[in-house]
Amino acid sequence: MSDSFSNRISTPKRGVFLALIVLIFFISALVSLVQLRESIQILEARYGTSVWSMFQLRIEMRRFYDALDYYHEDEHDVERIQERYDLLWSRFPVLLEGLDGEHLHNVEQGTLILQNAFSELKKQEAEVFEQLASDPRSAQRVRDAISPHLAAIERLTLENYHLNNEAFNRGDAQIAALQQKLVILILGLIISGSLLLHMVVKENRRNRYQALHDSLTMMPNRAYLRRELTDLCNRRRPFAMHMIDLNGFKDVNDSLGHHTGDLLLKAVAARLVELVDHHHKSLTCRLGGDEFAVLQYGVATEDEMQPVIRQIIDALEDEFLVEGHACYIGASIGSVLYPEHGHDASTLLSRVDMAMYKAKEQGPTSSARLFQLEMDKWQQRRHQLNRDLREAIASGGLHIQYQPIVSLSDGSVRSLEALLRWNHPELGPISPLDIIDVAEQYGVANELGCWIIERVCQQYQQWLESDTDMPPVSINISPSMYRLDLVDTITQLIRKYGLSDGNIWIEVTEDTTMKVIKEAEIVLSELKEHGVSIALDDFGTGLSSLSHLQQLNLQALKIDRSFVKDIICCETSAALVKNIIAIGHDLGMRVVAEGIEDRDSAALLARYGCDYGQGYLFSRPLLPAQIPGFCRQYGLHQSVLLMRAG
Amino acid sequence: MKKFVISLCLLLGVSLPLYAQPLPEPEGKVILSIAGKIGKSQDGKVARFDLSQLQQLDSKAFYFQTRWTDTAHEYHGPRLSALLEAVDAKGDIIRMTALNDYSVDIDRAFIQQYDPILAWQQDGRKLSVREKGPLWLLLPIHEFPHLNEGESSAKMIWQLRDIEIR
Repeated sequence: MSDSFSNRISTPKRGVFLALIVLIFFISALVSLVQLRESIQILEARYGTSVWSMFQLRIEMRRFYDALDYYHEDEHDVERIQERYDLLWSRFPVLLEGLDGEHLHNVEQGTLILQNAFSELKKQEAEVFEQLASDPRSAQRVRDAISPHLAAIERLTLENYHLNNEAFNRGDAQIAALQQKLVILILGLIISGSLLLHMVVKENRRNRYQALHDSLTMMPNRAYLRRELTDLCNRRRPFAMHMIDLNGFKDVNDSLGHHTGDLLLKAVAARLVELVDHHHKSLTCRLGGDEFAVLQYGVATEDEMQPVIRQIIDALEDEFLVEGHACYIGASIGSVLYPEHGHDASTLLSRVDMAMYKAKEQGPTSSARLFQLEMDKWQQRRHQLNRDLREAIASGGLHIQYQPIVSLSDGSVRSLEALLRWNHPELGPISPLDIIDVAEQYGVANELGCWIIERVCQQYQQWLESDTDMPPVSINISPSMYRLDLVDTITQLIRKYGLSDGNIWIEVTEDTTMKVIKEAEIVLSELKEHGVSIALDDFGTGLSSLSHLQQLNLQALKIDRSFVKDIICCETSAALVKNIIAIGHDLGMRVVAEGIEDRDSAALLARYGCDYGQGYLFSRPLLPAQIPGFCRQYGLHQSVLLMRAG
Repeated sequence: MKKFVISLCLLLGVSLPLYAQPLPEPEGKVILSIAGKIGKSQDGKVARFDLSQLQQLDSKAFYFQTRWTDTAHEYHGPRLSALLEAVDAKGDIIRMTALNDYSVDIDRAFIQQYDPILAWQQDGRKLSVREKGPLWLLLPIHEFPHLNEGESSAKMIWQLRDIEIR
């Protein structure tokens, strides 16, 4: 952010600073208000109409007095005096009742002088209107009565004038002083107001920045990308979008902690900017977690995309050194082209996600996939499967088949593997991998897992009830079931259906278990304590670590069919299998070979000392009802019979 | 044709005197004299009015408190514009003078805008000189409060005696 001012101040300090400015603003405003009021009051005080009215009163009083003086016992004179009397009278209420007399109380005894003069005038009413015409001495009497009041009113008039003048002069000085202070206050108002405005604008800009950028890497975020995409689509500018998901990031996060994980993400971001954006004028955004997107501008064909994809993979496959740890990650990249793969941001984002998902499936090494329309169909199929899976679990559309696992030395049945079967009414048989995958993605894996375990336990109980000796059944566990209370679920179901220790085995895959190694370690050893044995399925295909073999409390190792199918023709496979068997035995595990389809393979495996075999050579997965017959036909191993006897 | 001539004569006989008719002589005490550029008067120079003549003009009432009293009152009297019409006033400046020789000038535009009255009655009683009568020019300060202040308030002349149209 190019912000210089507010960035220099840390957040708590900024709060204090803001409060201070607000305080200055309000104090300035308040004091200005008070001062303005004061000025207005001064101006109002000097608005002295009393001076005018007092002079009018004085004039009328003098005229009345003079009229009396000039009285010559003439009828016309009497009328004139009476008119002057009335006019004089009319001046008093103006000062005694109206606003003009408001300030007269400022003059010592001002109001009293007026009141006295008025009441004296009223007393003379009879003289003026009754006596005057007939009695010439009346004029003299009235004059004598009025005379002292005339003097008092004249004094009051002058004093009031003087006071008003003084108020004028003083008021001018006061107002000038107030105005000067006001200048400073208004300056304060302007400065603090501008600062406030400045901070509001900055804050607003910061908020807008934050809304569109990722706080960890300071890269544009998903909202920014979406806006940019919409903008490009509106302007019909061709471009490519690559979505990157880091391979193996979770392992770093799990084993080295979130702090290191965050540092790794920052390093990834920096590398993408430096090695990709700077060279190809592209734009990298962080979408959240370990997902990034690169917008490559002005690209119309698949070929033009390749250098950028190559660059991304190269950039991310190099070693990352984070806090002294060497981290190796890779990238699964999905790509889309505009306008070829969609005309709006939502479609492009969803399709690039699909392509990325497909690339991820190719993992664990870095790989890239361009979106293809089939993926959309594939996605639609997944949506349908998800919808129908819930229905199938509830309505019994799913069922379980059991594939025998036999002893390679004597052909007796050692155990059964429970395999999930779903014959979809429209899509036909769905592979167990697909079912588990969909269940995992849409959050029905736990429900499905519990259903499988319960169904197997129930079946096992039925077999036992028909008085058949039964080998143990192994059940496959999906990754998210580790987060469930797996131990409780299994032990409760075993008890519910009256099964014994050793009846139920659990099969876990390397990928599943390694992804949640910490949880797995605890869960698996607890299961062992409850008499549930654990087999490691598909050994050799996933993220293996031999140390995990020791770390996890495993009782059996199942060699993946991909090794087994080539052991006759391929020496490498044979050597691998031979050694896996040796490792398994050395670690105290039984070893099972999966996918045996011919006698030669079975014989070779037996020669290598492999304990058990599973495959079409012995039996396809069977319906529950076929199992007792199969067991009778091939016989159970001594251990199973012994267990029953015990 | 004969009928037409007779009608024309009749029309002239009726309308001419009406048009040129001088103002009727006041019967009571003259309380207001209007001089200057006027079209109608009693003697061609000055139009004189007694109270009853003024009462015949188009009148209206105001109810408010002025800055010179301590309570509100109802004031009633002829509209100044009706009076100016009655004397066929031709000038634009109306100079008004009071019994105490105080005088103010008012523009005709101001009169047209605010339509003041010459109040002769307060709360149903005739205004005496002591109560700022016999005539008090009042502005509609209840409708236009600013008229109650400063220069405008000074226009509300009381004890009105003379009007000169200039």
